[in-house]
Amino acid sequence: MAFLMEDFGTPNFRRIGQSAIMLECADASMPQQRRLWTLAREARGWTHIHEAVIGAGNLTIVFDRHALDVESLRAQLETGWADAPHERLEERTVEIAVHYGGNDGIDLREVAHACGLSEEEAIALHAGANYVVSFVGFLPGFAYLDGLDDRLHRPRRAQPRARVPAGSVAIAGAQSGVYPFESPGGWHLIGRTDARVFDPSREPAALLQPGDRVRFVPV
Amino acid sequence: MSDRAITIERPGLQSLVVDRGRFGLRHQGVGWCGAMDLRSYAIANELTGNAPGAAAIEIVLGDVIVRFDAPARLALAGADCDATLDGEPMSTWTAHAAHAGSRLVLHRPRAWMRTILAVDGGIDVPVVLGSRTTDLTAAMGGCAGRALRAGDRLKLGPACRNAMHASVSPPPIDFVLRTIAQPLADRLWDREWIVGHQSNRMGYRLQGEVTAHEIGAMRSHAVFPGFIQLPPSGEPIVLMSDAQTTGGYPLAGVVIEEDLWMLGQAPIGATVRFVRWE
Repeated sequence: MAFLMEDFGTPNFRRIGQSAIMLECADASMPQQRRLWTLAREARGWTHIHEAVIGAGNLTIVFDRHALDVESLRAQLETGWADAPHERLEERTVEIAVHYGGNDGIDLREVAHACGLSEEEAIALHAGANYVVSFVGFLPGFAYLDGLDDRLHRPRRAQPRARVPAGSVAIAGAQSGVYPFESPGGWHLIGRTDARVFDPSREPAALLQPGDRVRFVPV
Repeated sequence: MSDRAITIERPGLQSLVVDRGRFGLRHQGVGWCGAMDLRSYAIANELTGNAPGAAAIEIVLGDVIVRFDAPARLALAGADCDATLDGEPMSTWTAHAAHAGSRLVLHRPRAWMRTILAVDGGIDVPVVLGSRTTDLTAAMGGCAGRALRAGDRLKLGPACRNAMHASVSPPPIDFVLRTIAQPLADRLWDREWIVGHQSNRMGYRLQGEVTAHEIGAMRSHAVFPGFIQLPPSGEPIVLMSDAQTTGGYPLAGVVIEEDLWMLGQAPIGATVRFVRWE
């Protein structure tokens, strides 16, 4: 499988704490991320694995250190990385209805102005893009969406807000996301959705899963 | 017998139904949200004869009244709140028997921060995503996903009668946290840290002699309770039970699992230290 090793590079491994090991890819590009999705799914099925959490170009495994030797886990991950199937995850497209601007998206005006756009143009760019869920983290069901039009890239707010309303549709850097719950947050709020992005009675509880395609629909 | 229950008459500052945590779902953004002092939690369950993962109540700074609606074996572990059971002093770290109508009163503790109340049979709230523990962010688990209120009636599981010990000595606490070094660990050692005001179940912010630092564009990665993050201010944040699942700040160290319970008992203003652990 040497050709795959060349294609995707050899990941770095970093032991973190007593029971965790992190696999770091050379970069956080989409092909690497795809490989992490399948590897993480596989690793969750191995014995003595408690958590397999994807970040941006990395995967952290929490394991039972009394039952599993870290070197054998590392070898298993190396093999898994090299052999991770090319097949894509089943691709779903999820549409999320958004009320843009006004009280629903209190930063839209400022974001549009900073980007040299009208509010309508900013909405059209945000709703016109195809997003892919890169990973889920931070809060229950919070999906980091890649695919934001580069004309809307803005650094995070200098001062995070203590309270961002549930359902807020937000952007920061090259990503967009939806806050499932009221929480602190440093992203720019451009709209709001009524979609229930996390529901513990649903399987899976998170509406958006890695690899899902997402479109925002203005209402 | 199925109607064993307790009623919260006074909930105190923040009382939560907790267990060891909600595991295996951090990739969905779901935190562990287990007891802040897992050591006292384990001891309290053991004293009541409960299985290790039975749900209990975590109380912050005492000031709680609980009524027993049925006979039960109970134990308190953690902060000593000069508790009384039906007016009689009730020692912490010891199992006691309540009868139907008994009242347990907790006062403000003089030291430590949190008390675990375990009752035999465990607190029988519904299991949500594999756990009974309260997730305040997602408003799930525990009692309707929230802190307990006056009047809440909590069902107990079936009574158990297999407690091994009646009493244990409190674990020694020195607030010296053994820590596994990460790249920025040099900023942690050989100094005292004060638990800051913005400390809660998500994380403890520590104040001390710090240097601000530039952090480049970091890739988000998984984080867990016990991780010590260094935000640009240089003031460490130790992630606790309710920590978010991913973060982007650089890591200075990881507090070992055996010692993190001490931080759950550190009140605001307490002094803590980190020592290197190999």
